[in-house]
Amino acid sequence: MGNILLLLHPTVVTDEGFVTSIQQDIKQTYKDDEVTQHIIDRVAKGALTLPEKHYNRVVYVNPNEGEHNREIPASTISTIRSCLVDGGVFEGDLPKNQNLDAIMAGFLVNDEGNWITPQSEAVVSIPLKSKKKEGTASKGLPQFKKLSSAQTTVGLTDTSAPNTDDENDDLNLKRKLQETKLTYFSDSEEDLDGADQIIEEDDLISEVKGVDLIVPKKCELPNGKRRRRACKDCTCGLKELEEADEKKQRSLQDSLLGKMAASANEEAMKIEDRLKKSIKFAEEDLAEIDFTVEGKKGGCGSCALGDAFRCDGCPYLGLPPFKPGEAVSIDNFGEDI
Amino acid sequence: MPAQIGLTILYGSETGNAQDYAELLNRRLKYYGISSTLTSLNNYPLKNLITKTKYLIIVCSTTGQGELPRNAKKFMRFILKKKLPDDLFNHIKLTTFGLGDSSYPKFNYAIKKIHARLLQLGCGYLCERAEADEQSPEGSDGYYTSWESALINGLKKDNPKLPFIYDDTQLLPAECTVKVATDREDILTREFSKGISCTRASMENSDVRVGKIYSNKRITSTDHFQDVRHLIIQSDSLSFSPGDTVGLYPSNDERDVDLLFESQPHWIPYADKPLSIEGNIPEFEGGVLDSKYMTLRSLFTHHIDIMSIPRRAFFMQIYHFVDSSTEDGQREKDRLKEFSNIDESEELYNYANRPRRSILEVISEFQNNLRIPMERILEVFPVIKPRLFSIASRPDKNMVELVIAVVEYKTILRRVRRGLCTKWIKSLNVNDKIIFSLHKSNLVFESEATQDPPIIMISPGTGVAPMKALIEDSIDHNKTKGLYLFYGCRLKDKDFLFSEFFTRLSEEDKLHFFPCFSREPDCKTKYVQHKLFSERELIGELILNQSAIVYVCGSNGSMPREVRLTIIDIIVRQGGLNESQANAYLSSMENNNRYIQETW
Repeated sequence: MGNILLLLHPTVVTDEGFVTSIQQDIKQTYKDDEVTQHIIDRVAKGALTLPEKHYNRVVYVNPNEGEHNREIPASTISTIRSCLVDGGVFEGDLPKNQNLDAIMAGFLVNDEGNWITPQSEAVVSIPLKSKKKEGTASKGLPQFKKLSSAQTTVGLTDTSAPNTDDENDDLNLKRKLQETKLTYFSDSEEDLDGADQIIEEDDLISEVKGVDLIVPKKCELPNGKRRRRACKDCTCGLKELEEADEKKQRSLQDSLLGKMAASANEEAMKIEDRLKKSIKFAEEDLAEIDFTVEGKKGGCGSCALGDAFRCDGCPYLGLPPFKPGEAVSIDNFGEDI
Repeated sequence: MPAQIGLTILYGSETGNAQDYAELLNRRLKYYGISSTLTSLNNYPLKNLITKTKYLIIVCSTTGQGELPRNAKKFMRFILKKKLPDDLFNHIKLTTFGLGDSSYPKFNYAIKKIHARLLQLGCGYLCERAEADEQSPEGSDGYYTSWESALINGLKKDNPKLPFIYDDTQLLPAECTVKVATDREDILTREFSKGISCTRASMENSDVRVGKIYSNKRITSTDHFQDVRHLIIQSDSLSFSPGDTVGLYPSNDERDVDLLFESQPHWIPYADKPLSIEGNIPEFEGGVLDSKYMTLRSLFTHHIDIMSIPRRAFFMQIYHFVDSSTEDGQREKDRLKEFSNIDESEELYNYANRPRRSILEVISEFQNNLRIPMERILEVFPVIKPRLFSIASRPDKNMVELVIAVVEYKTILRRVRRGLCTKWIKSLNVNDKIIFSLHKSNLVFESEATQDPPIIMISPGTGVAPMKALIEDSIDHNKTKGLYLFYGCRLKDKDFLFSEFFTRLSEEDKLHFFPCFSREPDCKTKYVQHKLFSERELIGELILNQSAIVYVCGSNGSMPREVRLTIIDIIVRQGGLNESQANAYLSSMENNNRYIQETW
């Protein structure tokens, strides 16, 4: 035999038939139990005092849709928490977005969304006494470190809570904490743009401290090679240097190519024909020039391998790889600006 | 198998640079035997911060005026909520890596803000954080190297049982796999490329919409070196305001895709077979093609970026796919691996970045021994990102106009460099259908002091686009308390954009128009900042006494900085303030949205 408290939202009592049917339902389900009935407003306003640790089950009846219509003041949640026995259940039309308040009041939230009081007080690691009676915040309130003036919220972890050696308790605490944290992550996208108050982004800058910053490894290039490149809006002259280098390179190649163009003879034409069949370039897309025979002088052996292997200042930089002695195709594909 | 220690790497990246560092770290940690989750800040399911994250690493660049990259903004909006408790993340150890350039006043602001806020929310210490400075002699790489070793040390301390031995000889297991149905019929997509691109818009994907090209005209004279397009897109139920942008989703030239396939001939027999993507699918902004049309060819044409400059993460993958059984192959493998090495960044820079070499060209150059497996494609290649352009027309339900400078230039490479997007735009014909998206900028041209304050618009080149939108809108709604346009270009009869339009408005006294020409011999004021200075009495009066709004738009670089300095100088001279007071005045203008700057 247990005690059940039927907690009714004020809108319910206007419908007599509905109330009767609820009472019958409850009596059907919990035949041997004693059922008491109150209107939640009276509890909330403190118009009546509920006996401590008395009820096994509190059933909330609120047929109104929408979370804001179901909201229960945090102080009332605490009051209900205190009237339940250990292992008691608060169920029914509970607001789904107040799990945090429930947990703060010392409830656990189970898979069905019901709020349960822990089996033994020792497990309750976030005790919160009823604010209503005390009028002021009790010792059990979570403490929070003052980090920023913009920071107004309360912490979740209660550092003042007694540490227990029991590993189960730790796990429980961890799980519960995680659950609490998750309540901040709403699934709905709307919430992001919604009425939530946002701290001023730019105020964060003054919080930043220059300590603990990585200092980069000094750049040491043993061969004295040019390390830095010109910025987009270079004013130091490096960009001009780079451009001059490129220009030199191009004119060198142009003269090279000009000479070689003369020897771009029948063989090149044949290759062009072959390429046309497979790649289907338009005629003007291709220029086929063999300049490798005369052009290849130095003998570092890497010129033919392509830019990835060419030396600094190699006359072939910018040209495709080739096999020594073979024709090189410079595709002009797409140069039809 | 890499060890799971609850490590999450999140990046905020506008150009792909921060993403590259994040990917680099992700791969290197795996070679160290540590598994990590990698995604953009916006894309990470935030609840996983509570349930799956013990170590949080954030890599983020700073864009514009100290702003966060687009793919980090949603994350920031969440963590800025006031109601969040100060120990929400007390189970997380944090380190961050910011990418920035100290020549900008709001250097690395994005990562500073993220880091500061996450500390407020209880994050603990993993290792020193870094604010990389592209201007420093070491470059961002120098910071990365030092930061990474600090990070590894931090993780080692926390996980003393793990070996942390670096081994990059083995190919890591694929996280995302491309599956080709080799036995199925071909799906022919090549001829219908433009239509297939539009299948990205669907019921499920409301971010993009379909529009029709109404006109695509060159508005610089034909003998001018630069082709600037006035692109008009027709659609329906559009809604936008001045300052908003349009996202375009370019496709590759089919001939470039053909060239790529030629260099990977083992793909050719399967190029048109149906294809599916499994595993950890990369983010395709703007949606994916209808699966009915998904083949290797359509994937490469519409989603895969083969024209961008290869990043380090790309080289970290491809060297694994070089057949090193020959001397040539071994040499090529070694070289590609070298390019992926953080200590050889100068080599990579000289080979790829300086000449603006494309991924396609690299693959062509190494085609003899490089065979990329089809199923690895999405692990090797980056995905094409949308390009954003400022809207150049008044709010309208059916039409939206853009002004786009076509990117074409030469480097040491013989082939002309072309921007992927602008090359695609040039290929668009009237009545072609395209997909696009609208992006809100939420700019307000209001001031607390006065209603409809005067607006000083400073915009050389194509920066004039949003000004045109603003001017049209202001005139339509009679908000003409004073529109002042400072416009700059090279030559009067070559690249003077919308000259007739602005001149006419000026003659009708609807616009105060101040054009200047940098290459006209008889034009004394070459650049917009010079023109501003020559009009300093007017500018001073407008800013100091009439609460004018200043709106700067144009290419990044020296212009925005010099304009800023000029405005400060004018405030000093006209307002009788000293320099630090003038600086403070300008900062307060920025904070009150009276100094708005959009640069790219």
